[in-house]
Amino acid sequence: MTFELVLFIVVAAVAIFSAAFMLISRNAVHSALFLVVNLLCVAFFYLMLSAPFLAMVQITVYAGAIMVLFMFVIMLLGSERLGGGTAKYGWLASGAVALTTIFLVVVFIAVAQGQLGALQPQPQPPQARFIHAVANAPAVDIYLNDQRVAADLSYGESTGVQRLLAGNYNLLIFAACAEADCPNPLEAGVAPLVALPLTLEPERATAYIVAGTPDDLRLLSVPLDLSPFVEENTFRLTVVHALPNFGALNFIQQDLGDPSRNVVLAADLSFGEASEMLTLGRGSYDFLVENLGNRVLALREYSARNRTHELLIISAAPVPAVAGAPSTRPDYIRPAAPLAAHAFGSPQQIGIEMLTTYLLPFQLVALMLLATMVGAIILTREEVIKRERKRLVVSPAIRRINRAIPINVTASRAEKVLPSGEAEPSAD
Amino acid sequence: MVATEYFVVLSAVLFIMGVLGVLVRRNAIMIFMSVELMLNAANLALVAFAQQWNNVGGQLIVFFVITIAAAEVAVGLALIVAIFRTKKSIDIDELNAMQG
Repeated sequence: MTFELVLFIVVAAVAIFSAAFMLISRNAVHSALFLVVNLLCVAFFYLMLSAPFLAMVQITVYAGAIMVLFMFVIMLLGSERLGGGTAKYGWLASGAVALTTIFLVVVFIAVAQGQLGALQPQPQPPQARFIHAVANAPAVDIYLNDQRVAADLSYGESTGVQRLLAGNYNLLIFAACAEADCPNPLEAGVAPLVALPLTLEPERATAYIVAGTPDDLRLLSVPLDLSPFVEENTFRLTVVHALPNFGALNFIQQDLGDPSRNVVLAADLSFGEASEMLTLGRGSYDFLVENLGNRVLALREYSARNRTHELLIISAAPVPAVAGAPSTRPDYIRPAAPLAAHAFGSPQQIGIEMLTTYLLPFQLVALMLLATMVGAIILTREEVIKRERKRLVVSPAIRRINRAIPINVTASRAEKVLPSGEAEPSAD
Repeated sequence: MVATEYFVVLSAVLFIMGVLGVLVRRNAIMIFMSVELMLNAANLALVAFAQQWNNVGGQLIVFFVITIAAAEVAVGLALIVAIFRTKKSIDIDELNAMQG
């Protein structure tokens, strides 16, 4: 028996007993306080069920505002002491107990037979992005089977993270055409630059990097981690070696003041390899890329947005002079980094969902609240309005006017309203 | 992690306590509090299933339920106050003007 289960049983017992005491208590104030205890227990269960924001809302709105309203009305009406209840419908109590017992038995059977634990959520669709990192190569169009996933991608450009369907695909890379209305290369029968089989698996996010030289295109796949961050103010970094015809690289975090405190973040990356995913705190970094002790590339004051997965692709710089020849001058590409998902049940996620998927219900509930507010005010104002009307009808000024007119319906009605014992205030 | 079944059973138990309160107690305020108990039990089941399916929709529905509960309490208590002013009682059995 785990600690969580023990905690659940204890709090569940408190919840059930507080509900029971709420039902049997003869004092309405005690009942309301037992209900508050019950609501706090439910808020605790929300915390256990990874709904922290909901738990706080439960405490402030339910246990706070709504229960204060209850207490206010109980005190206002002076109905702390509840009567024993009329014995008019005595048979109802036993009937209710019998019915609810049947309901509970049905629920137990349904839960026992239903195998709730075997239910699994739908897997998330695979996500992919495509990055062009081949210097001096033409812009490309990328197709998965007959679906175009990247259009006119030139060196250094990248697509956003796309949701695709899981399955086996045939990945085709075509040279993008420069004309205004290009024929579909699949229909026109253009030979692709590269054709590769590709399998997209659910729950995975991957960056596909077109690397190599213009004559020898390669496809590198680098896993992306878009799962929620545990720590705020951090970002993820993956370094990819996409510099063709070059030896192994070391990726070093440099300390400019004291070289002895340099940290090797990734060692011996050969072409096509990606480093382990690094998690770095917010700040400004100086990185050094080395090959056998020789400086290849230095990055100064590197910083990234929080909660993103950054890719740093070490690639060749395009050299315009020698067209077609493979370039070996090192450079780097930093595609715009995707933001990681928000944690389940976090205020951010709730807010985003509320204002996107659930915008219409949100607006309707807001309208309903407005109507409720007006309704509650009218319900409690009605009597005041009536009393005001009565007072106006019997006021001396109106009576004087009424007396001037011989037969008047309003006057006779006003006489009826006036209690017989009340003295008339008029002097004449 | 506590299995979803336990939360569903607890939710059912709390719900029937609310039903019992509505059927057995004759005080209008007590009936309202029992309705709140039932709404909470339903919310608990919704949040438990939201976690089971890893779908935040269940939690959003709970937000709407909380909002509607607040609105219901505001109107309901205004009604109770109005009834108390005319009848000088909030015993549900005495409200038989409609021959119920």
